[in-house]
Amino acid sequence: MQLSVKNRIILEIAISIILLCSYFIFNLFLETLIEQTFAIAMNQTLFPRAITITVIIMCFLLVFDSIRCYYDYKNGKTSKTIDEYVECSEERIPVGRIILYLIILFGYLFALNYIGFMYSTPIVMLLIAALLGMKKLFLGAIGSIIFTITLYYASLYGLQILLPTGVLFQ
Amino acid sequence: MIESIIGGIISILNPASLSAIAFGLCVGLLFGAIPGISGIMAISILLPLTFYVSPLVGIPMLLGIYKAGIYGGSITGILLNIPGAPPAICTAMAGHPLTKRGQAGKALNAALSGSITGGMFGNLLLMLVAVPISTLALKIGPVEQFCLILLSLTVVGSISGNSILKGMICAGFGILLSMIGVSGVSGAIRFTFGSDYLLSGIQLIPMVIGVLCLPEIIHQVGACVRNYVQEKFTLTGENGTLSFKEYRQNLLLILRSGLIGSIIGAMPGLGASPAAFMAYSEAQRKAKNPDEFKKGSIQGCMAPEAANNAVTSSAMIPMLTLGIPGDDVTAVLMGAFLIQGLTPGPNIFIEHTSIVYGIFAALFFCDILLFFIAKFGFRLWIKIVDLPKSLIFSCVTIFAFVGTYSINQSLFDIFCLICFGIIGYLMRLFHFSAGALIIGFILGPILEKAYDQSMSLSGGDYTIFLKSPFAVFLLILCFVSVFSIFRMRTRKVKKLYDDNIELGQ
Repeated sequence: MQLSVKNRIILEIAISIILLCSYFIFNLFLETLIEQTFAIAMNQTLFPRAITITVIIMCFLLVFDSIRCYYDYKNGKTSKTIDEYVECSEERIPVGRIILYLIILFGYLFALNYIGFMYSTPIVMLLIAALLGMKKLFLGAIGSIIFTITLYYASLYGLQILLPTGVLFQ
Repeated sequence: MIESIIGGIISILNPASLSAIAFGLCVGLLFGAIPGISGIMAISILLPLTFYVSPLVGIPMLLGIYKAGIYGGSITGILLNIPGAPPAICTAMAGHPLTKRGQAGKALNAALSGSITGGMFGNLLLMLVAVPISTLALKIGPVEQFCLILLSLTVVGSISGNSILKGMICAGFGILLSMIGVSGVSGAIRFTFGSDYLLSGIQLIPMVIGVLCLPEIIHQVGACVRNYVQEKFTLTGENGTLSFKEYRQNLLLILRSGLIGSIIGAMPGLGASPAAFMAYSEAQRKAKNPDEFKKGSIQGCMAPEAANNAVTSSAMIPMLTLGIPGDDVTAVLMGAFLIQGLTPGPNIFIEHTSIVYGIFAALFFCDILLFFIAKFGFRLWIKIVDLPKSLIFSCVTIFAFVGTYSINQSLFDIFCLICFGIIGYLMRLFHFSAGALIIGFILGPILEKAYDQSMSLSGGDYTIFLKSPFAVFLLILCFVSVFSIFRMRTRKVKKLYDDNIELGQ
């Protein structure tokens, strides 16, 4: 995915509005999110609210700044921020590969829980290496198995940490 | 003080501490030399390890990574014209032309001698300055501490990243994240959304690794893998070594650059890159023939290296004396102190004198060992660049998972790690500062504690912040810092706009 400068600025506006709304809603429900366990003279919501309100003000200014940036760009003006967007617009964001990587990470989390570190790690390492363009997959597989076994026993005997064994094998 | 210094040296002179430093230096050199992987990534991955060892083993190891990571970037910068880290850009500019002229060995040795001398200078300054500052800081009460942290947050939030607003939003987000869980002061349960996992709050390690390490890997997933072309180089003869005469002739330049680095390093939010650029331009300005710098110059290698290595020590001055981390690396280092049960700040010099002086001694040993490890391994470090990135990044991912899991043996921490990885990548994509987030997260509880103590002292009267002259001075500084940064940026934008109009005409 490649974003044009205009789209990038619109996205920045959208993000700043989302941030503003999120913090605003957070501030509205702040009191319900704090559970007082025992009576105390001090107001428990004051400090978090002060921080939230400061952030809301910053978000509001960010929205204003992003909109100003949009009109500057539209009128052919330039600024450091616009230059930055121009630079970023040349960058390609490989959304598919990133999503695949994140799926592997979440899959690894589930695999650690069910089949444990020993079985899941070589597969995950190989998948990530393949995603990053490794060609010699057989060598990669051997390397990942050796790495997994070494790390497992180094953690067990060096740090006295038992890495997840998996609920299916317990 | 002399007794404490000797005590510190003795406490670090043991096989465990020295081997931890050597290990840290090797890891730092590896991570620093590989473009795309930085020293801070190595520090964040190995941070959980410090949980299992004594402070004088774990913290020196991280310091070794920090120092070597900064220097490591210059090796690939000089030999391949690919700076392993941003602070090495100037070194690459002056050093790579020397490589092309067959003087790679000289450039590498010049950068190394600059690094070591600059680092030593920074260490010495840290030792001399830290104790008097901490003595002064002891007189600071909760009111002044609150104002001081507020000031540091405005400075850090505004300097880290291109947008002052984004920096401050990140710092604020960090403070809010630090409030999750049971409050240490009132016992109130905050922002857990009914989840039992969040009762103990968000752990520092998953957050640090998540926002610093995983986004880099996610970025690399989309980047193309490049093969680097290495020039042949020699490490012997006149072109391969740096004579003592050449070193002595440039000693003043190195010390001057070390001083620049030390001053910049002690200021919150600036870091090693501006120090290197400033020292490089100062060396160029003072040089008899400034044009020589573009064609390759040993002064151009020495000056930025001396400055960026001096930063590593002086950046610890505000952290150790006031408990305020100036940048993301010192924030992570502060995390290592907190993991060990040591709270950086003026009291650390009284409560844990031997550990503080042990750390000072470790900084000197880091530089001494860095000299030998780097000098005798030039060829090895450059070979590291040839390692397949696919292998390195898959190993780094697993290390990140294992490191996170090792703290509480909890899979929820790994879930947090992935979530912070996604947040960190989005922050990177839209230029929000991860450093400001971490600093906010670390300073948040201290800020809140100082606020609660101030309110308890005054019985809820806010004018307490206006009763202490020093607190008022700090509050004024807060406004001045925000206002001046806003003004500075507006001027820059206006100048750029005016320049464009002129160019257009």
